[in-house]
Amino acid sequence: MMELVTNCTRRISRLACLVCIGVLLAALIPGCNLSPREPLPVFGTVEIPYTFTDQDGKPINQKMLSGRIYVADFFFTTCPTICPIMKTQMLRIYEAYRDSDQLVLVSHSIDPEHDTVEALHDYGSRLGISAQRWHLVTGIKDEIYDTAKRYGLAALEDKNAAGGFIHSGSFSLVDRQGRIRGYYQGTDTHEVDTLIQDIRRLLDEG
Amino acid sequence: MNTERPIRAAALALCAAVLITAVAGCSGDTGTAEGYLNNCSPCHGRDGEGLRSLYPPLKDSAYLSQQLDQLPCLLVNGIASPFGSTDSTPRMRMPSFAHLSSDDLYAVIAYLSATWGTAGKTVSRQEVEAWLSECR
Repeated sequence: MMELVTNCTRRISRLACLVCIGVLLAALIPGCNLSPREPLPVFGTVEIPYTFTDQDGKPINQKMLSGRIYVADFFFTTCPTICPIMKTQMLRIYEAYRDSDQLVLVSHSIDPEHDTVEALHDYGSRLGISAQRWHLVTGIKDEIYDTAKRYGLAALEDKNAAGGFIHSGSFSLVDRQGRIRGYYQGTDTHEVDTLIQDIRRLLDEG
Repeated sequence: MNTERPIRAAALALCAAVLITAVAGCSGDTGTAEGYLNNCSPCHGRDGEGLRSLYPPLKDSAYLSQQLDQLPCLLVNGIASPFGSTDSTPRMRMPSFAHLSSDDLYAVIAYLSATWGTAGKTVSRQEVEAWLSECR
């Protein structure tokens, strides 16, 4: 009887060992990148026929962004709701690629009447950012709103909304060919973690 | 080995903890995080850390340590935006929260005071009502 119990215990231990090894291998293989990840999807090519002005008074248009990876979003400096959270998250992207000249950030103000070049300069200074790496842009209101549509993002004026405007809280990731490669909720830390990783993937695409 | 005594001590400690929590919850003096998270945290951060020179941190805020009586009016009226100033004082416009009810304002002020105000000092509903009457 004792021998039967001992054999049985050995068999169970051996089985448990095999299961453990299987689980470990399953966990390790994806981490080892044995199967290469799919490239990021392409959501279409963005074409912006307008020129905006950044916080240093410099013109910003598609020609200047061509050949660079960039993240675009829409905000306004007096926004009392999601914009400060979006800027906190955008700042994480800025810091993560602080030393890379291959990535720029472009934040479009949807309240250009208030957000003049001077106001954006003040905002950028208080945020402690460089206009070379993170453009806060203003321009003609209709052109900015049309640009939001071209990025697949929403922006509209609404007197009943907090701050007077409604806009998407998403970030668009654009590659060197001007193609949109991802949308990320700019108020969600985990989605911005993914965005930071996806920027690395685009940088590696060359 | 006598196991009854430790068990009794643990039960007493548990009862005391429950009682303390219940009493604290009844007093209302510490407010709730909900009002803060819905109205203040977008700018001042979940933990009151602020955002660089744009939005001030709440830790060591003079409003909370020395000028608590001015806080209700500040929340009701907001602060104007003096763009173009050159000093590094955080000065983004703060919106008005006049749309909040007296109960909601009290909950926010009590939470701010309990979390970042002078240690051990709580604020009463009567005090907040009196301060609010100055600006409404």
